[in-house]
Amino acid sequence: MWFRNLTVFRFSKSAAKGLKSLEDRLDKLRLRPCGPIELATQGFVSPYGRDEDTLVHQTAGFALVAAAREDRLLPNSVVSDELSARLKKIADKTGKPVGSRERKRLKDEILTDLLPRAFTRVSKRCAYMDTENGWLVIDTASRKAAEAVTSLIREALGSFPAAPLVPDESPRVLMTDWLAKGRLPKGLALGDECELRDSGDAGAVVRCRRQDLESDEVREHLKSGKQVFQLGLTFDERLGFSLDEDLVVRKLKFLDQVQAELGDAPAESSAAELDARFALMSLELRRLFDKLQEWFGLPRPMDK
Amino acid sequence: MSNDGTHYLELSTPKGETIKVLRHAHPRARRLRLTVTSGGARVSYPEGTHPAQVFAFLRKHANWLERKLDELQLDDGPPPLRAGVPTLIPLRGETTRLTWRDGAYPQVELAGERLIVSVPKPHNQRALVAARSLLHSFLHAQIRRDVSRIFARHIDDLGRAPSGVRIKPLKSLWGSLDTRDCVTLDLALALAPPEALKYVAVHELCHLRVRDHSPRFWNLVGSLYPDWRDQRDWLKTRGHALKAELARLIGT
Repeated sequence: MWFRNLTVFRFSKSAAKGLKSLEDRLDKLRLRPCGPIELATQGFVSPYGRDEDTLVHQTAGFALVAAAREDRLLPNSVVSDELSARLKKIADKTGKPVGSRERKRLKDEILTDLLPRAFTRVSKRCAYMDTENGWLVIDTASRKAAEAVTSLIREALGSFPAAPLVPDESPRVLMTDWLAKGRLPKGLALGDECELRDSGDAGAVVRCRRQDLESDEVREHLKSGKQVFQLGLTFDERLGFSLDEDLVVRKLKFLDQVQAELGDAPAESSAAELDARFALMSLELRRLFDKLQEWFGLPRPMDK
Repeated sequence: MSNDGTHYLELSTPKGETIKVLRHAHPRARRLRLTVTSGGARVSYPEGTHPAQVFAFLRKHANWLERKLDELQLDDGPPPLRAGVPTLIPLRGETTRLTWRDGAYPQVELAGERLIVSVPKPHNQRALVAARSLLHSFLHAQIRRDVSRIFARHIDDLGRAPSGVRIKPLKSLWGSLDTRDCVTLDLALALAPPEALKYVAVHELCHLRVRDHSPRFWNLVGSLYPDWRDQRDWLKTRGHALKAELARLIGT
């Protein structure tokens, strides 16, 4: 269970205290199956797997949860086709077109007919809280998906003021400086991809993949005033990722050194394997976030 | 009064001056409307309105227009930004000297009371485009720095947090909060005093609790930032000039 992308929020010490009875609170919002005519439901599931009961995996200072959503798969095109067929049938029978009110009623009728027969799909998204340092980390690069998870956590807890990262130092200015001068903070090394842009909404965009970032081609773009909006980086030869302007971490990879620490021996159970991987991942990421805080300045919300 | 081509109408004032008013026929407009922003005066009217009716409307409101333009001090704005030519700009409410320097990579840095823009020579139109882009990022960074502290301070007081923060040039607003709790702030606030930025940031944060501008909302703003009235008045009287200044710097 390695996280692939990271959207990070911060919360205060007092908000961290509210996480003490997390298991009980999440239990009220456990994912339930979609009803016969329900389009979607959402709630929490066990991070250990479908058949487990425990909703929170706790290790020292970290709490792993899994938000899930069950959707009924009923494509709009299926509903439209069925609606067209029924409208045609009525029009042929009566000889006049169907009014909008009747059309709406027919559509509702089709949904009621088809929804109970539609397949359901469950999608799961893990997140963890570092209660000691106030980080909420969600395994997604999508803002919308991250907001859905934070909303669900807020719903379960009543109030959970987790704020998005608003850095002191502008990531685009700092990352441009790193790339232009080739001077990166200790422990960081350039990867092989970047996205350069002119500031402003209509500015030019250059995306590089599998590219030597210290080459003249890249430098020419920087000389013309483009700035780094996304940069491939390696941290301590242990983590590889792409960092963007909003400090969303994408394409996160745990490199060989970390994988080696996990060992090849099979774990006693899937829960033991999750425990080992989560412990390793959360500690590695805590080190990374400490450094991001140092480089970019990411103040933790203060208590009242 | 005269019509100087397709876009502008010229209005003669009682003092003998001439005011240019941008004209705009709008398909959904239902009445004549005269507005004054950092971009100047503008009259919008329903399509098909007779020009004489527009002229009469402008003449009727000539005194108001003149007074408004005087308040905003738009008639004698600073010269356009040119690469290599030093100029004065407002930055965080202070008048700051913007100077130019030759550099290997385009860069903007604040050195004491001077803002130094380094761009590779020659300082031509291309250099100006690069400089504008960097100034945009620099101002963006200035706001982010202040906002991160303001938010860190007040989020716990409110018990609510925004889902995101966007900073971009806004035409008439100073900030907004969308239905998904994302705060948007105007880039021009980087030029305003930090207190004005604080007022706008606190104002938008308070909308997380109260979505309207009711007395309950203003009480909440007052509890977090007692001097909000002064800052709101400052933005009302001086804000348009800042928006015009931002347009001069980043070319929007």
